[in-house]
Order: sequence, then structure tokens, then C-alpha cells
Amino acid sequence: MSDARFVKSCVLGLLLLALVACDPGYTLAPTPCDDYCHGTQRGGCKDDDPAECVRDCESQGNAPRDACVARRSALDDCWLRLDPTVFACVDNHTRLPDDQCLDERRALDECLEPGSGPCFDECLRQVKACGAILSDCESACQHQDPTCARIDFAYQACLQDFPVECRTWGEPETRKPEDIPCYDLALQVLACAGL
Amino acid sequence: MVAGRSRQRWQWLRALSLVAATVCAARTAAADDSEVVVVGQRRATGQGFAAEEVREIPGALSDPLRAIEPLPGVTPALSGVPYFFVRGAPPSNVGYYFDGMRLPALFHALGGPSVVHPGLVESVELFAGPYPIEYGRQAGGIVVARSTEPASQARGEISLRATDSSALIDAPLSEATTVTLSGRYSYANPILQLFAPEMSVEYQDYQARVTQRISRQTRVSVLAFGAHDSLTRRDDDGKERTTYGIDFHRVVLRLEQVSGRSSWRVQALGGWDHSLARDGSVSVEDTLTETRADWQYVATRELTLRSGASFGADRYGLGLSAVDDPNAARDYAERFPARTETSIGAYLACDVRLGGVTFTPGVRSDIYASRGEHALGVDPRLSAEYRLNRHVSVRSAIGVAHQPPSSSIPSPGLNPTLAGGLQRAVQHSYAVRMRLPAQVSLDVGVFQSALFNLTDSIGETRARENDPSITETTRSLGWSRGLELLLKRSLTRDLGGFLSYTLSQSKRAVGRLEQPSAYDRRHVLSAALGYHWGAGISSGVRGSFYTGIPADVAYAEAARNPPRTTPYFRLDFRTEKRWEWGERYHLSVVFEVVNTTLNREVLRKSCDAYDCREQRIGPITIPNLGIEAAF
Repeated sequence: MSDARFVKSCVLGLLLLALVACDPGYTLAPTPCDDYCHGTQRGGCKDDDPAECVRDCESQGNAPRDACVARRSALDDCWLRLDPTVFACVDNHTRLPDDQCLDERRALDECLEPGSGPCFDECLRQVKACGAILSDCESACQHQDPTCARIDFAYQACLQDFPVECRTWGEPETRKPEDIPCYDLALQVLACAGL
Repeated sequence: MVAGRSRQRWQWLRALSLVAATVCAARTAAADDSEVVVVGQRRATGQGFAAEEVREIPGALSDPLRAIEPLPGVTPALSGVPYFFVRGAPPSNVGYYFDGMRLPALFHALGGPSVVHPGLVESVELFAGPYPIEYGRQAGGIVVARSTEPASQARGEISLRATDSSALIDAPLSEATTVTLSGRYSYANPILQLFAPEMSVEYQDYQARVTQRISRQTRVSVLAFGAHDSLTRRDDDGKERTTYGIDFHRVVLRLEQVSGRSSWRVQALGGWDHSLARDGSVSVEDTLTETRADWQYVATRELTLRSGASFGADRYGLGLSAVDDPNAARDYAERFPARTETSIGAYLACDVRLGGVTFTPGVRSDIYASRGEHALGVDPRLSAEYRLNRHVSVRSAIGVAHQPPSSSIPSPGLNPTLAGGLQRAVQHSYAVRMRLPAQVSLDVGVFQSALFNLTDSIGETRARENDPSITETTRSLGWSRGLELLLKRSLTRDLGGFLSYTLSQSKRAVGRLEQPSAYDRRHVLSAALGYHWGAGISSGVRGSFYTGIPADVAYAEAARNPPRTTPYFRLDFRTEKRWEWGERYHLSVVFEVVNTTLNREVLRKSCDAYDCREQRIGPITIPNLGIEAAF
């Protein structure tokens, strides 16, 4: 091998190695959880973490079942249509606005947990009247036990016929049973929760 | 001309066949005719800078141990943070030695100076692996600092800086006796608290050496050194918590003799290490002793034998009384229990010169015992060096190295038990060293290494995020390969500098997950240029560039080849005005800035399929104005 050839080979080798070392970018196609996080982490908050969001989404089963993919997409699209300024930062994390994409949100909740519509409606009332956080209240509408879910949703539907009550968790009950709205269903909900 | 070309081809062929035949080579390698030989001991050659060169390296803050950062094969975890990956091996698998003794910590807190006074360090060399057989118990690379020889006439140094001051005096008391004293004291709080009022730092170190020449061939010496570091912060609840707290002390008695063809050295070492962990609520300590003997015999011009043995014992203590979380207390008690560990090791090697090739085969073995468990490490190593001509030599080496389990960040006394067995590294390197015109040298090499049963919780960070079953104690398999280049002209010349480049890839496999090491950086480049303007004025500038570390991604498939953080670049600057009186006295004013461009570095990057977010730190910028006087 001549010297010139040797040098050329070395240069070529170095170039090949440098090419191997290029940043590949993200190599997978978006998953439903990627879509979810892309839509919901729009506040530009300091501690928003895309990978952690996707990981949480997968581990908490937020990836929708096949039947709900379309409704999930509709909600994700709705989030993406919003101006980023409507997303607030709370504790350096994005908080979803409580007054946007409500139809899409309710539709997805209904699909994920059939019959949960009244629960969502009650959450909305709590948000408006008591300053509750919709996403926190919404997560309480998820149930592992179908029987408990059915009882809870019946209770929430019943509550819609009464004025909204702003009560805090653990607040002692001083009312008489007959003054408590949907008392029988409330007892069944508590029993189902093992309380 | 045909004959010349034929001879050249034959030489290349011979060099290549050497690799095939020996499957070896040599950072460890062969004694060079021009090498300086430390009393009684053969000296292998690694890569590094002499002490007088280090003074001129911008960003090294005149600290010889800081000068390893720009060397090829060294990948910084973060700019200014003194934890390095060496050829893919994590920081806890890189050993630091001062005069043959392991240093339990290398630098003071907050990227401060090294724990040994610069004036006591003659040279610092990096052996990225395989490393000389005399050293062991590190499944990675080693950094070897050698102390200066006792002075034949009194010398001293004093350095006053904005954050700390140091002094050294090295004086012969008689023809046979020399005393060396040095130390450093910090007062960095006023400056630190300008940027972080809740933080408080203190650090000190000391070194004392007495050397007594008994005869022309024999000398005895006592060396004592140690350091103290405390970095605390006051939290919102008003409580003070220790972010970094260490102490260590060493005292070594050494007897050395050179007689005729043989030389030997016997030493007895005692020490005490102490660290605080978990915000200061956990206290660990290690009271240690080691006895060691090394022997060398030059049988013929072609054959040199070397051997040695050591025996050591460590008594570990653990204090958990301030830990409020029972789970954390249980975890520490399990990983770092109070116990006594012993180790015994021996090595045998030779340098055989056959024709133009110097072979260095060797083997060392270490046996460890702890709480009824035993582990044996047998480390064969083989290296060879072939001089093609006066200007070009080819070196290659292959070796195995074992190491007991290590904690994620090296800290004095914080060593896990033997549970899970030894870590093992198989290392191979091949390099060409060329002396070019104008006193320029060029080293080009390739390496690969495999790391088995690795305890690298830092490198496994990304894997742990993707699989909750992976814990800090989960073992992994690592491998790395790369290309290194060092072009250098001594910085002590009127115009000097270096260009150092590493292209590498370092991976980890844990369970079913396989992904890049959390601090795998493909390209690491460092270049420095210094110029002596005359009238005692010199200036230098150094640029450091490295590409990003892997981003955090949620899916294992994406983690195999993830996006990278933004590359980082920093520029360091140094200028000095020196006044000299005669040959012995000088005074310097040095102004130096690390990261003059105030660049911020990416600490972490998190990605999904659409978007990435980066967390940045800094800028970590260290200005330094110092006055140095010496005689």
C-alpha cells in the first residue's frame, strides 16, 4: 500500500466513524401515549418531562383501548388546537385548563369507563362551584370494580338533581340522614369503598 | 528505492503480525532507553503531562491531576466535575495513585484543587487500560501521580488565591535527610455565598515527608498525607445538611534499595477514611493497613523480572443513628455493613526483548475475603512494543483486570461488600506513536474493552428509568470501543499546544435492556495553544468540545439508539506575568478563567416522539487570580 493510499484509507475510515456517531434523533413512530403527552404538556413548564409523561401514561393504563383510540385522538387534537397560553404551570408542571375540550374529555371518559358521564358532570359542577381541579376529580371517576363503578355513577347521576355541595375530604358529617342528598346510594358507595 | 519500499512493507507486515501473534500491546509497555527510572523501580509509560507543562495548560489551574481531563480516552461526566469515564469504565472503576498508594479522593469539593499539593507532583500519567501489572484491583483505568524526588537544595512555593492558599517547603536538613512539608487551606465561603448563600464549604489538605538516605543504595522514608472536605447547605427548614463530607489520612513507611542488578521496595501503610452520605445522616469509615513489597531484577539486557506482593486489611464501620427512614437504613446496612475485609495479592512480570520487539507478559492474582465470602481475581496481561524506526513505534496490549464491587461515586470508606462477586474487565488496545518534526509527537490508537458483572449505577441510569426491577445494585455488562488521537508539542516551548480527540462508543446491557451508557459521548475534543511573548509574559487558550449524552426516553426500543443532548463547548484562558531573580527565585501573577464564554451545559434531556426538553446547569465558570512565588 502506498503512503498516499494509506492516508486516504485513514481519512475515509475516520469519516465513516464520524458518520456512525451522528445523533439519530428519536427512532420510534409516535404511540398513543406520545400523542397524549404531546397534547397535554404544552405549558412549557420547567419540570415537564416528556419521557416521564409517556412512562406514566403507559404504566397508568392511559393508553386507550382500541375502541377509544378515535376519541383519544379527538381529545389530543383539541389540546393541540389550543393556544399554549391557556395551559398554566403549577409546581413547575403543566396543568390542563378546566374549561377547554370538555366535550372531548367527557366522550373519552365515557368510552374508557362506560356510564361515567354523570361523574364527569358532577366534577364540572365541583370545578365551577368549589374550585376543584377537574383532572383530580376526573381521576376519581376511574374504578377497578365494575359494581362499585355502577353504584358510584348512579350516585353521581342522582346528585345532579340537587344543588352542588362544596365539601372537603374527611369533613365530619353533621346533617341528619334525610338531609343528605342520595343518602342510600351514598351509603352503598362508602360500603363499596370498604368504609 | 525498491529495496527501501520492500523493507518498509516488511516492517509494516512485521508490525501487523506482531499484533496477530501477541494479540497485545502497550500502554503498559516497554522501557524506553531515554526514560527516567524511579529509584529501584521500572517505569512504564502512559499518557500525560510533566508538572512544568501542567502549569501552562489553560483551565488546569496549575493542578497536575486536573491535566488528565483533556487526555484521549477520558470522557467527563460534566464539565468541571472531577468524575471521569475512562474508555467507558465508570468513575468508580478508575483508580488514582500517588506514589503507588491509592488516593481515596482526588479533588476537593466544588471542583476544587487536588488533594495533593501540585509542587509535590513530578508527573501524572493516565493508563487507560490495560495498565501496568504492579497496579491492580481496578476494572478500568488508572491515573498515576509520582512525587518529586527530595530536593538537593532548599526549595519552596507559596500560592495565594481568591478561594484558598497553599505552600510547600522541601529542604535538606543534612546530606542524608530531607524534609518536605506542604498543605492547602480554603476560605472560599465569601465567594461561594455570593452565588449560593445557603452553601458553606471548607477544605484542607496536608503532606509531610521525611527521607533518610542510609547508604548510597538504601533509603528510608515516611510520608503522611490527608485531606478534609465539608460542603453543607442550610435548607428552608433551617437544618444544615452535608452535601459532601470526607476525611482521609495516610501514613506510609517505606524502605528502598538499589543494589547492582536488583532493586526492591518494602512499605507499610496505615490509614483512616471517613465519609458522610445521605445529607450527612450516614457515616462510614474504614481503618486500613497494607504491607507491600516490590522487587525488580535486570537479568540481562534482554530480560528484566519484576514481582511483588501485598497484604491488606480494612475494618469498616457504619453509623446510621441519624437516619430517619428505616428503609434507607436497611439498605445501607445491607450494602455497607460494619465488617473486616482482607485481601492478598501478588504479581509476576518480565520484559523480554526479542529482536526489535519488547514483550511484557505478566500475571497478578488477588484474593479477597469478607464476611465468609471469598473472591479470586486472576489478571493475565501481555503487551508488546515494536520500534519501526527512530520515529515510529507500534504498541499493543491485552489484559484482564478484576475489581471488588464499587459504589456509584467513589468516596472514602464507602465500599460495598463482596456480595455479587468481582467486576471484570477485558481490555485491548493498539497504538502507534510517532515523533514528528519540530518536537511534535502524535499518538493514534484504537481500543476496545468489555466489562463484566459491572456495578455502574451511573451508567445504568437510563436503564433503571425504563425498568423498575433494575436497582442501584443490579450488575450489568458493558463494552466500549474507540479511536484516540493526541498531537502534542510541549507547552513549555515558546509555542506549544496539543490536540486531543476521542471517538468512542460505550454501551450497557442490563437484563433484556441494551443501550448506551448514560454518559456515552461520541466525540470528545480538546485543543490548547500557548505562547511565550517574552518579558516573562505567557498566554494560553484551550477549547473543549464534546457531543451529548443519551436522552431519557420511555421505550426500551428507542433507548437502544436515543437522541443526544446538545453538544457542549467551553473556552478556557490563562495568562501569566513572571518575574525572575537569578535562577532560583521567581514571582508570578496568574489570571485564569475556566469557561470564559459562560456556556451552560445540558444536564439531562427527556424526549418523546415529538419533543425533547433539556435541563441545563451553570454556567460553571471558575475565575482564578493567583500569586505564586517559588525559590
